[in-house]
Amino acid sequence: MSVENAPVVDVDEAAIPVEKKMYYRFESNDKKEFRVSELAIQQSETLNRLVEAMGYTSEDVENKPAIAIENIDGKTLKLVFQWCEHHKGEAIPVDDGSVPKIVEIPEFDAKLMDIDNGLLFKLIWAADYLNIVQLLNVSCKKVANMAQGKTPAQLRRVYLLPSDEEDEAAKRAAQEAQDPRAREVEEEFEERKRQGGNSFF
Amino acid sequence: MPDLVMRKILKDCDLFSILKLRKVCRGFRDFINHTKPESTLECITLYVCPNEIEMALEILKNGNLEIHHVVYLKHFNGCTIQYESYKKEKYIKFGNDDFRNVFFNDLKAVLDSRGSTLKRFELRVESKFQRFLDFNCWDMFKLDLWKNEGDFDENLAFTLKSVGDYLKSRVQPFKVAFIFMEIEKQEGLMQWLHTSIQNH
Repeated sequence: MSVENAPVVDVDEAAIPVEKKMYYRFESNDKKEFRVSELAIQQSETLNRLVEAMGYTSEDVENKPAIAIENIDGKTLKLVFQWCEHHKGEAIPVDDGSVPKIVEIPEFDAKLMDIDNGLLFKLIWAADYLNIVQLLNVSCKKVANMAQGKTPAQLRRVYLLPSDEEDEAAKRAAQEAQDPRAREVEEEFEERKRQGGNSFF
Repeated sequence: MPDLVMRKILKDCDLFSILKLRKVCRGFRDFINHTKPESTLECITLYVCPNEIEMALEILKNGNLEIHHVVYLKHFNGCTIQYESYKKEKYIKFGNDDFRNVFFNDLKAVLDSRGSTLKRFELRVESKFQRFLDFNCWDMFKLDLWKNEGDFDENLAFTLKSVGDYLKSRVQPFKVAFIFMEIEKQEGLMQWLHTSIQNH
């Protein structure tokens, strides 16, 4: 059949389902703006509830100022939204504590979390704040995996934690900084002890 | 980090990592003692030797049993903890505490981590000669085990008392499917059994 003889079918364009995507605008605390799809936002319980409560239309999203996320910086928020976009539409796991779950880190997530420890801890904090269950699961798993095969000294470096001795020294230094007279009294006391004298009292 | 996040991280850590995390700092140790993260510990074997106490932990990980060893050694001015096998050479010097106290605190954390019935609990005694057969001569020299005579009876009495004290302190009885005990003097065992049965 030639092209000229092909039957002409009237198409009702309104009947064809058009995927209607809405992109919300968010702003980090360092004024970086992000556009995130509605479906991706569903991964975050906090943001999902927020946009539902706001009831924005497509026009509102464009015309009103971006939704400010005060506690998270741009670098971290970028990672969070990258994760949400990649996992949009996926079911959100429910942790009822009845069955111990084995968390596996997908390749994309592993690459995303191939970052320095400081940023990783910010990412975990953001996942907790925004209530992104699966991101929190994988990031916590990553931190737990980091502990494997390390000595306590190495763990201190990984988690940026002080040893008991360092902790006590820092506490002492903080106390002394607050009350410089305390140090003078202590020195005076030590001096008297050296000279064989009794304590102040 | 928020409490929930810390709990989640500890839940994902295996028991062996948790034992090491307990040595990181006081804050971490207190948090672990308070939250008592659950583990997949299946069996525990304690080896009491003249100058050291070893804890062998069988932990279920992704369907497979992994065995980890922690050795608490008497050090001339404190305690040395040896993770894994002697050949992996991971020693840490842990403060000036008596090695038996460090062992007891770890044992409490290990037993607390098991919510359901433990499959096996074993207590074995090993002489210095047996220990020598288990590990190579160089390690024995490196760790000064030859110089250190230790006190076998004291260590065994301490271990039995530790387990007994722990069982007494528990609100819920500790459940074990199988117990194996190797002991030199019957009185020690009788005293221990008396404590355990009386309380549970």
